[in-house]
Amino acid sequence: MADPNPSSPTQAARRAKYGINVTIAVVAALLIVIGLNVIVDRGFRRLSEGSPGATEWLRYDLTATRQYSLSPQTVRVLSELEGDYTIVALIDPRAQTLEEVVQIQRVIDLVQEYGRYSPRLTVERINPATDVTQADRLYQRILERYESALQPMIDATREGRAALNTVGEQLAAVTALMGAAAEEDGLTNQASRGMVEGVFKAFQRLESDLGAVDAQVQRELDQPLPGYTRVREDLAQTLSQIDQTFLTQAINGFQQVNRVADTPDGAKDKLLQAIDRMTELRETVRQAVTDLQFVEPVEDYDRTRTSLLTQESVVILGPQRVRVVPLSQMFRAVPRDLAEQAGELELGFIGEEKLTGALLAMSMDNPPMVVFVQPGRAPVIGDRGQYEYVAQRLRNANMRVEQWLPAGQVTQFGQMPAAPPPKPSRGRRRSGLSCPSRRQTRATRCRS
Amino acid sequence: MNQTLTIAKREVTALFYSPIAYLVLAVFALVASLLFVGGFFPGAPATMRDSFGGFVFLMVFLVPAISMRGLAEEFNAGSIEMLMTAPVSDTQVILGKWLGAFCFFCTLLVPMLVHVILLEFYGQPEYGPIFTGLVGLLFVGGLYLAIGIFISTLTSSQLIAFLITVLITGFLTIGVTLLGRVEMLPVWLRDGMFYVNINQQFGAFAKGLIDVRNLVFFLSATALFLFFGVVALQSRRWR
Repeated sequence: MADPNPSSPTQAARRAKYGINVTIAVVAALLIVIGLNVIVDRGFRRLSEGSPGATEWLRYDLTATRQYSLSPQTVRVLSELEGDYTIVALIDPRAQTLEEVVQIQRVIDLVQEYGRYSPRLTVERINPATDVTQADRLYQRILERYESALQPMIDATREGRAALNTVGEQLAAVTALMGAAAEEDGLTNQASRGMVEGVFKAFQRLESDLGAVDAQVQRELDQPLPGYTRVREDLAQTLSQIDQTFLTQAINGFQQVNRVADTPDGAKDKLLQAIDRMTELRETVRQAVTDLQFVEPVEDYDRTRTSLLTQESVVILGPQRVRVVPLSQMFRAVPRDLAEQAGELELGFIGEEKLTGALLAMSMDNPPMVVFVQPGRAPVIGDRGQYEYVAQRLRNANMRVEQWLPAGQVTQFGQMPAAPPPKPSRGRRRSGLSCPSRRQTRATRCRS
Repeated sequence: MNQTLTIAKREVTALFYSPIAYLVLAVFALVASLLFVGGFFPGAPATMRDSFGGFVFLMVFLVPAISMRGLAEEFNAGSIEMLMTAPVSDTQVILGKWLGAFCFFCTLLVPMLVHVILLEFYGQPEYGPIFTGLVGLLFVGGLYLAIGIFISTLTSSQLIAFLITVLITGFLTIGVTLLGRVEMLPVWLRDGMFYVNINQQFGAFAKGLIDVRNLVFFLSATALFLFFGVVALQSRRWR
């Protein structure tokens, strides 16, 4: 009913009263909805971190292969993680082929699942082509974890560069001496003159080449993940070339010139000074080359770097270590007839095995060893072994897999005595568990 | 309940009599099929995950066209007075309107049956994710319609109702996606934006998951907007 007097004070008061009531109701409803969502979200997260099995029914997976449900083993590994871990899918989604598009989606889905089960594990996704800052930050974090391992390499590289710089500085002085020697009036012998002038020109060329080498080294070192091994090789090669092709030959040549009788004393004096300087320089160069050759390349870093820079990968950053699992390693070829029966992608997808294996490996100092006992002639593992698939999975989980023949091997020379069983490396806890093989009479024993 | 169903029935009938509804049906069927065909070629996985993502985007613009009639039409035609004096509560009116629009929305999804039949004909689709995807679309549609019905109680112009609804649904999909990337915003706000992102909430359904968190989100958000609608309708009595 319309009020006969719309502006009456009772109308205004009633409006205000209703207005306040409605505002309170709206705000309360909003808060209730937000609160409900927060409680459910937090509660779910806590539940999946505490007892992962409980969330199975709260997040029902209707895919045929349970694609979005991690295996109990993975969940256990995740719940037992010590220290903070980050899994980064370093993937450029602008894939080339259809197969890649599907694979990338599958890997991204999987990586997201890992974030659900542990508060100590965070999941990130970086596109190296567009998220340049984030990618650089990731490379920096990777580099930090290799810092101590790379230190000798970094030192050797620095010394190599210093030697290169010394060569550059000294060359100017040496060429000046050579120039002065060549201008001596008495140096009339054609051969001697040619020698000095030849070396002079060669050294001038070298001087400009050195700048290019140094610039190249600098470029490599400026990369987010410097290729130290390559820098080391480049430096060692350049320096030994300077030693052998330039310095040694120049020293020998000048000594010959000085032995020629008609070389004027002034030129001889200058050349002697040059020889002294070059000999000194050669010592510095040789020392740097030895240092560079002596330092061991950090293979793990090189592998990580290569796979990060050349292919789509998933990076796992642990408290101290880094592991990279290239996308290509997460899929294995499946025979065509099998692939057509089942979901072809799922059948060949071993991403979970790889990632969990890497996590497991990172949380252990020594990988456990598994020994397969071969009871008869038929190999247990290897190309023709019937347990090769099991062995493969164990290797994926970063375990050492060995085979042992207690009965000894039959070769063309007859029965050979049994080799001692493989021993775990020193410093490892010796505990064992046994897994019965299908043949009940003999047991396949696993050592851990 | 009966009154609600009566209103819903009347709403569905009215929708099927209006030309705009057929336009919406036609556009959805066409664009959805184009999206589907875009991912339908030899060697492509027999799933509808990508198509579903496209449908959710399409719904940002099409669902508000269904809900814009809602109460705006009643206000415009003056039939609201009849509705308000009829022996039905405001809640029944809003629920009836929403239910009617929702029934119409369900017919929108019928062309998808053809997509599923095509997949079955040419490949071996997995029905779990298709089923969950459809369930997800129903939830998304329900939420968008609730938003649309709420907005339509505020204006007598269908065009304004449509535009404001698109603004909100667009914000909940595209807007929060873009804003969530702004690094200047505090983390809690970005997390919140990530949470209310419809694409993200729908993502689990498209994958083949029924997650209680997504259900809670859609149900509570739908209920919230329906409640707003009821409050807005009630406010006409004393405003």
